[in-house]
Amino acid sequence: MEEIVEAEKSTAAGAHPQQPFVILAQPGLFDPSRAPSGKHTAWAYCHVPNGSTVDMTTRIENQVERFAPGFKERILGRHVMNTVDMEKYNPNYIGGDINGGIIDIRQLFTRPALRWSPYKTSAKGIYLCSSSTPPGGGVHGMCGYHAAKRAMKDVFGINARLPSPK
Amino acid sequence: MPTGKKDFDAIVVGSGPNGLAAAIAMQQQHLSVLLIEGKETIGGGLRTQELTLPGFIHDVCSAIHPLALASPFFKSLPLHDHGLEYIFPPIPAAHPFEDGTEAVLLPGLDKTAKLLGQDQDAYKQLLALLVGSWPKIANDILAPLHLPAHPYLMAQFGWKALSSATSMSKRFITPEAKALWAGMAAHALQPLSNIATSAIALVLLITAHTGGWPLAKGGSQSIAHALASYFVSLGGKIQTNFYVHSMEQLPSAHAILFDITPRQLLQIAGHSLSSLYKWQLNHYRYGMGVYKIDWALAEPIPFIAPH
Repeated sequence: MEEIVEAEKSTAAGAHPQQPFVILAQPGLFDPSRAPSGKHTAWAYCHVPNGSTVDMTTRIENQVERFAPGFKERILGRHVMNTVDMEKYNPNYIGGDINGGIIDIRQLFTRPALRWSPYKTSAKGIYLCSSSTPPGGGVHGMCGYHAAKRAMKDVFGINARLPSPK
Repeated sequence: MPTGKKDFDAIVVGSGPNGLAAAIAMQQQHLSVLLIEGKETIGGGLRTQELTLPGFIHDVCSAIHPLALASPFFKSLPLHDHGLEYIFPPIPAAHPFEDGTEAVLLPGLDKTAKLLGQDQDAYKQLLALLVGSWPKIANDILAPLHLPAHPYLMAQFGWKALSSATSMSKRFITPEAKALWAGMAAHALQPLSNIATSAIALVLLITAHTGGWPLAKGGSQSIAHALASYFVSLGGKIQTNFYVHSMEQLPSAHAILFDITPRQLLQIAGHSLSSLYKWQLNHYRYGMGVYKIDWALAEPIPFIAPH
């Protein structure tokens, strides 16, 4: 735990830890459609300062090797993305931030700005529905759903409710 | 209903999970909706591509989907009929230590707690009530600030969620429990001593113990495809390869919803926004970035720890 706390603290302060906290998944273990028969894929990332272009490949691979000796010999190919590549891939990832803005105590309930409705902008008929609005990052679509609900009420006088689960 | 002829009732710019959700919610109410995407393929963070070698497909951004499964809105949609299949790994997460031991997150709350030895009771005390009442409180948690439907349960979540992950970790003695907790909280993309970093850790642990942490068969793109397929079946329109730089490019509509961050909204629609709102958006802060690697592997990763 101390290692994770230290890595996240120093990264938020603008540093690149030698032993970053790595989040890793091996989808090929459970979904054979991800790779040719018998072969595998792995997916991993670590946090870096916003906008960083430092190459973290060796540090991430050293971290995996540390807990899985022999890992490096099994690599057939790799693809890396730094924060600039992430933003190019999806312009919403400003400086590589995949959550659409920091979710700290100030921006938890007031993203993107302190307003009666977070989805409504100052212009009539224009709304924000991204992860920069509540409840924030993650694949759940609830920012979009609540923004649509707000827009439908304001613009079309429609009171939408969640349909019962199918 | 507003008067005056427009090309569409509503336009959604950006086809990530939130843009797709917004488009579907409005099309469900029989509004005419156009969904616009700047890239060739829809999905935002839900894209799967052959990044390394031929035949190896990789999730470009998100890969594991506890919140897609827990989402009250996605849950209400017939996504299975539109081709979405979730696969549930038997072990949602594991955190290895150098000596070959590990902290393991299992689907069951009791089983996970049991592996934490001395912290068994502390772990259960932290989560049992919230896990049991998750179906009731999920709608309130995954929503903007409002009067909750279950105030007592929300308060139980709230006081725990608002504390920092480091202070909450003092409940635990074992390195396993501490590591499991810190690993979850690190998803907050900020120092773990920050207030409210417990929220994301709690949600991740609760979802592991309720629905699970699934991946989408065939890659995360399958989630976007299922959402888009359902949207089109309702009569919605999608246009890809249309990068929006300014409002003038858009067809006319009564409502425009942007699945983008404040910085891009300032560029696209800045001239129609008030100066106070622009000032607020200019002060919106972004967090840490990510550095990501995808590997094509000859064999699974040989972790010393069994999971």
